[in-house]
Amino acid sequence: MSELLLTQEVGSLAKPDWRVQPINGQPVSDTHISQAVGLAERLDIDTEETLSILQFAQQEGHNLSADSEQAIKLLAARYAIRLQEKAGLDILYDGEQDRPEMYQDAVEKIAGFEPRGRLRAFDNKSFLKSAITARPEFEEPWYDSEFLRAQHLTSRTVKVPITGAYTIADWSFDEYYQKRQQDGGLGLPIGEAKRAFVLDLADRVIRPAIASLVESGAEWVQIDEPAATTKPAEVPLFIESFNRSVAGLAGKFSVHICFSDYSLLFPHIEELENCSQFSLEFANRDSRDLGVDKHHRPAYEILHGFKQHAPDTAIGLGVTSVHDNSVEEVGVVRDRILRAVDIVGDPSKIYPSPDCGLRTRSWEVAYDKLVATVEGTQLARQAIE
Amino acid sequence: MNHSMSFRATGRKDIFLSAEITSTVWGITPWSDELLKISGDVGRGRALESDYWQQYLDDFQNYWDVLEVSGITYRNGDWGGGTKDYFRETVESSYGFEEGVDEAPVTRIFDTNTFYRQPTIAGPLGRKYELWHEPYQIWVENVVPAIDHPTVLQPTLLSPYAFSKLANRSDKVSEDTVHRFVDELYSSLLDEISDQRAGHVLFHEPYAPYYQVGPSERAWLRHSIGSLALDHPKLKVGLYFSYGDASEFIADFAKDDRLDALGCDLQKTPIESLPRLPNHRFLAGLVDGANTLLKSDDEIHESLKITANAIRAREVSVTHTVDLEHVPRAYAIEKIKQLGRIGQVKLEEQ
Repeated sequence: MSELLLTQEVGSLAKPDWRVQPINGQPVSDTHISQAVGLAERLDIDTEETLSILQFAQQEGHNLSADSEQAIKLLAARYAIRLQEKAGLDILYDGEQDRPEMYQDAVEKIAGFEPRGRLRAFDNKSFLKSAITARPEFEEPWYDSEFLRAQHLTSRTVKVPITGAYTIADWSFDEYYQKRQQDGGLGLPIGEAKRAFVLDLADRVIRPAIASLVESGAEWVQIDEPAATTKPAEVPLFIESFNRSVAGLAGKFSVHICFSDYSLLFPHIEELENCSQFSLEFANRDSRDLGVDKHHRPAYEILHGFKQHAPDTAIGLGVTSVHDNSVEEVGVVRDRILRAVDIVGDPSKIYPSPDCGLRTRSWEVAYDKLVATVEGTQLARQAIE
Repeated sequence: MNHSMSFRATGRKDIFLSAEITSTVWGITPWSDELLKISGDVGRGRALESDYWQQYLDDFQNYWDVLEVSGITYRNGDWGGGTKDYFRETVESSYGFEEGVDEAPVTRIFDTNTFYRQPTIAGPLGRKYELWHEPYQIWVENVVPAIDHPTVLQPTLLSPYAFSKLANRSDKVSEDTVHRFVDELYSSLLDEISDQRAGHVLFHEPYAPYYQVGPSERAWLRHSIGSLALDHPKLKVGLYFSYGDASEFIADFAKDDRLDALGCDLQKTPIESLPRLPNHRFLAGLVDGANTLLKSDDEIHESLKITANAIRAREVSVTHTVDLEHVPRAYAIEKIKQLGRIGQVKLEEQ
């Protein structure tokens, strides 16, 4: 593994039909089996194991056994990791194959939340949004077994994603902190309620979940905070919640932020403690033309601010878009990286990656985009070396 | 910043009964779970386009029935309950934008977890075909004629100023030119709305308060809205501010009698900072459109009294703070029903 310009994923991949549908009650079909076997061949995975697991599950019909369910989940995680390995990524995870979605998965693990219904996020994509109805409580470790499984499935560096306290609070309805005291809430005004909510999550839930991961051996935890820069006045609250979420813990911690105005982080990120990397979306807002100057690479100009306010912190550099199917030219990926290196100055601080999780793309498109990320990085290394 | 505390103490004499009290529902309404599912299934080849449109019409009728039963005074008959974002229908039915809006950059709507595809303005803008797509047309032809009070129809459009600022523009188009292009496009849109028996139109302006834009930008906003209102005398034009403190922007329009209505999110704007508006209908954003928590009618009613006393508008229309698409559909319906109750209680008392 080259130590220069290490490539990484950001989190989620789509879940294949043969993973989702049988676990949701549909029998394993011949189509599921042929899809899985076809993918195994493409990923150089032994097809015998796939056939054995899915054919056995097929015989169970609607009554999928717990063993078959576990075997299918393990298979999906193995495929997701193998897809990233074959694409050539240096740092990876299991594509969050056991998580329904980054927000829903988190709130379902926290006592105190109740689901309220689906909301559209963009186009016709939606997520299940919940309300906090009581003080949040950490109940049991979140991702320890998931992490251990991923570590067992690959020899490459593993980075565990976890949704951050600020984003969980920001994306939830508040039916506890704002609710009147006589109705069972705390009766706080909106601003005070938000602060209490975020910091309760950081102290009582996220820090214990991360501490447990660290105890299980996780060396790198990525805290996903896509909401961090959406409310300008609350950026300091996000910073405080990050610091409290990792306070006193040994390990490497990074933060992923996307689809928002990063300039709002300045100068507040000077107060961040124990954050080794900002993983950021850029490609979505960049030009698709070749070129390494600021006119061709407008999205990356904001890196000047990160260099000024957090010069020691690495950048997870989004070089491939996750919201369209067109695969980036490797020359464009190369130029995006070279522009970033030019601004940041030290290529060891740049980690090329997709903009965000690739869960809205098919595995075929996701694979091609990851390959473009890796090949563009190789070209950039050659240009630098 | 939150100003909900502003409502907790008032020593003013109660003159509430001098204002007419009404209710308003505006903006984008949440999709139903069924519509979300069918829309996804159509994309995956598991359902037909006709299934989608049938569900769309069913949701549309259900939504209208809720407005009718709730007694909402001003209704966004265009609904928006199948709209993918603020821009999509306008962009797809107009020329002058770069092709491929369905793959345009995904961009966050201010501080929410909702996004839009950012269109790029490439040249002069104009209408390819009328905004109202077929299902809406069917509804207009079959349902609207049965309404005996068509002036309650008040479609919502993103304000032309916000449209200009939130869209992208190609290198060939200057910022000043973008404002002009968008104003021309909106003039055509208002012509279409006039033809749909709507007596009102409401512009939603989130950009200026969120970014607290300065004097030269505010001049663009005033020019744009004022000119469109002047050029469309058949329509009563309103302007609603959200996503930030609207005090200065409301003050800019306080003496502008070209506008029929002004309003804002009163969780973001302190009531004591607003001017009196004796010549306007005031849209009081009091019901939280972004949270499932439903305050009691009494609590909203008390806030409405304080608002009416402070603003002294000829009419105060209670409404929701932001688009209702930020709460699930079942909660949006509960909030609509609450708005209807608040409006009707006061009407009866008068």
